[in-house]
Amino acid sequence: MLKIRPCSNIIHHYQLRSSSVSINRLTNDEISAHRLRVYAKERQTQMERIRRVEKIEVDVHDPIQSKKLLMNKNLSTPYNCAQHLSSVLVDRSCLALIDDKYIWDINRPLERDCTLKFLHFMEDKCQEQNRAYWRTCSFIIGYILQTAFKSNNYLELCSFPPPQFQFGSFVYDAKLNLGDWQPNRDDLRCLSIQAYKLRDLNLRFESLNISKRVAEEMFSYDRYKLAQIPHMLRLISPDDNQPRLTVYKMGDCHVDITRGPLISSTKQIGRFEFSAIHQIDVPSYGEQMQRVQALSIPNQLHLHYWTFDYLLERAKKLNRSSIPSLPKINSPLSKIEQVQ
Amino acid sequence: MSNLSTRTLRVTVPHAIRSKITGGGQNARHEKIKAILGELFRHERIEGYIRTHDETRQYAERLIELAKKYGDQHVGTMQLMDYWVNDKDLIHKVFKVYVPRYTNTIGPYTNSYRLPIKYGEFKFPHIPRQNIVLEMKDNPYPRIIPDPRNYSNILTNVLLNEARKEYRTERNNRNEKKDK
Repeated sequence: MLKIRPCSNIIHHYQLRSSSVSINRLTNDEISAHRLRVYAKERQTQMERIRRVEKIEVDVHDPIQSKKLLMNKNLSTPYNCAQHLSSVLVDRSCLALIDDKYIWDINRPLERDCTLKFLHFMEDKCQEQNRAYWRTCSFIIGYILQTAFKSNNYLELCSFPPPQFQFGSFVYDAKLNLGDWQPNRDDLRCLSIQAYKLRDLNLRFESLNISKRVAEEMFSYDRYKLAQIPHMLRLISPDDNQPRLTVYKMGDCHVDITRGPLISSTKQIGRFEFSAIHQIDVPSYGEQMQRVQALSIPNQLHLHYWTFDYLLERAKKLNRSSIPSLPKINSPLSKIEQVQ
Repeated sequence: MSNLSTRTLRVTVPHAIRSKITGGGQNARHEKIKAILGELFRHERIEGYIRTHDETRQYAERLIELAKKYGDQHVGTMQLMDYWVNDKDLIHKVFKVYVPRYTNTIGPYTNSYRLPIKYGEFKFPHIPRQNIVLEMKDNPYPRIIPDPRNYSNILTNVLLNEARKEYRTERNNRNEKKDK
């Protein structure tokens, strides 16, 4: 019989080693709380900007129920629209399609009159959903790495490449600062259990567009994230004509930079297994990092355990997707022009 | 007529005792099958008792298979058609409609679907009367089971496809090394 150690063992194991390293530094929990505090403050100020509740007309096209709904501008989300229609839509929709063109997060407020379609994982064309799902899973790895280990073991998250299905796994690149630790099967299993706990918590993903100043305040303790901020500034807000970037928050637990879109909530995770942790060399930062790999499928899709184990064996190979790098540019504005 | 031959039937052969399908002996059985065959060729989608209709299905398959193979100039085929099809205008339909329609079809030319048993409608309470729908393939009516959805893009299938590709390339590389 397989004996699974309790999850705290990983943490206990590295207690002595990590405590000597990080005496002067903030703990991971404090850094995480700082990010959440800045996020909450920024969200508060953005919400205060909405002085008057205006109505918009949302035309929902769905095989389950088609209806015209009168929603609140900049307040109501596609999730609220789904709540008016059917619990099936609430549970299974992961993305929304606006005006048949734009992919929209389920939890992002609607901005104008539009038509709306709900997307799930079993559609004919579900490339966008698949990509959003694995992006979300990479996001979740970041959270699990921050919380699974002892809080005073200083851990630096770097970034994750866009999901690529030919490599069979999604990744997060981070500096774990655990020396030459090689995780065995039980350790990986303990990490996976953290993901299954998230599934029960049903945490929702919210997005927020923030300016460079706020972003630098939010990620002031993460040196990798600070270096990335100029490259992630893409959106130009109509209010003050400044470039902005998108951050996502999971429940009240974790904030990270990602371009999105992400899925609706952690309830949609089906199986989630960590497969391997590899050492990689990152020339642009000039350091060694760890590439944490995992495999996951949504709750809506079912797979035989033999097949899943076969895919998991494949996911143990080193994922060859792009290594985190910083493109050399003179100013952030030139990058924005390129994108547009 | 003895040298008529086709491939084996591509439909499941029912295991009911054939003489007991209808009362009245061999002649009555043939008359019943002829009647259902005429209905099937004329309307292209019919509904009825599973025993008789499953039996008729084999005859329809065999007739179309022969018509495809030998054409309308063959004596033996035409004699068979003449015997099994009561309404003679349907023989024209077989050669002018069904044979061109199924030139590229290999498999069975008919579909059958079981219908739900309606309790209380059958005479003997302990023998439910199972009805089926029998139809010619590619008929102009709307489909009985709606179009199957395309699941090739869902995440699990995408991952399995990639795994399959990798496995095949690895196997080919191994074979090439062996050949050298």
